[in-house]
Amino acid sequence: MGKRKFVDFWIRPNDADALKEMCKRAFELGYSALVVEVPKNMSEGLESSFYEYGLEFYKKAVVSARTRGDVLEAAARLRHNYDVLTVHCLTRDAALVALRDGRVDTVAFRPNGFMAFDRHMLSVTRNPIELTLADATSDKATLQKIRALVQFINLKGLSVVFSSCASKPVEQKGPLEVACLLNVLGLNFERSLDALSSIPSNILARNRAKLSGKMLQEGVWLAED
Amino acid sequence: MPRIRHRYVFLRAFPEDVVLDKSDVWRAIQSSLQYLVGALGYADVNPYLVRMQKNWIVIRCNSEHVRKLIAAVTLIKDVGGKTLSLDVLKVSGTLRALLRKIKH
Repeated sequence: MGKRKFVDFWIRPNDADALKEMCKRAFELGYSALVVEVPKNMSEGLESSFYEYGLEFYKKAVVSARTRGDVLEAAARLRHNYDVLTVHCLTRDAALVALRDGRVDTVAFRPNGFMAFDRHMLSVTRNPIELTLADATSDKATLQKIRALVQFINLKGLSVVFSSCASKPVEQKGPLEVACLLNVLGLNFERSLDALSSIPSNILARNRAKLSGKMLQEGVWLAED
Repeated sequence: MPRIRHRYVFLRAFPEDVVLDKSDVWRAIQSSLQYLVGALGYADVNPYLVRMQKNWIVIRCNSEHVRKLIAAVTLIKDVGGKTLSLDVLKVSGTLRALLRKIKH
């Protein structure tokens, strides 16, 4: 098995300087790709920071959804403009749609939204669940909820992505540290590493192929000459 | 009684220009570990601050529970009122090997 390629699946810098510092720190910590929730005021010239440190750059849209319609509208509007689409669900209805919609990449479970799982949701789940380090370090109640979710994910074999959701370099942590935290919360160590490497990498590769036209539909690739 | 195996964990503070106080760091690690794994978990990990310089620390712990120590260090957000992050740079079985790896 080759060396793992680690991805920080969600950073949200406030400005270009913060982004540059976060790129440097991610490189030092051993990440090879960053997924950035780009603020509206800094949409151009972002790639140069990434090229300087040899990191791959991906753009992410995060949508808070309260109803089924919010999820469907966001998926139709944003899917073709961003590499990654994450839905942060505020209600169970929104979560049910987001978990099974093929256009959604990850479903974020955060403390200010809906943060539970039931049997019906389990039966329709197709997309990975995204949990963040920023939430895990916020307070005790959230850490307990995340622990319950992680144990459920481990038990049912669901797909999970763990990201930093950092807005400053000091909030970024190395892949080993994050994997150890997930392991202590109840996820198998190999799966903890997968949550930071193979699962996000596969999502990014699939979406880039779709956006560039190399993948026509799920599993249908254009043959190269 | 089986011999207890240890792991030595090298931590470095980020930002690098920060100067750490030994008692503050030790208190932060202890409280984070107790918060995460409780008193019994703390006893299993059995942490010990081996060495400390301006912005780096070496901690010894039980080898079977090194992930708990690393997870607890991950949760630390501030030390003595300073916002910082403690990064795990190396983990080794002996102090001599750890310091050799760090020098390289």
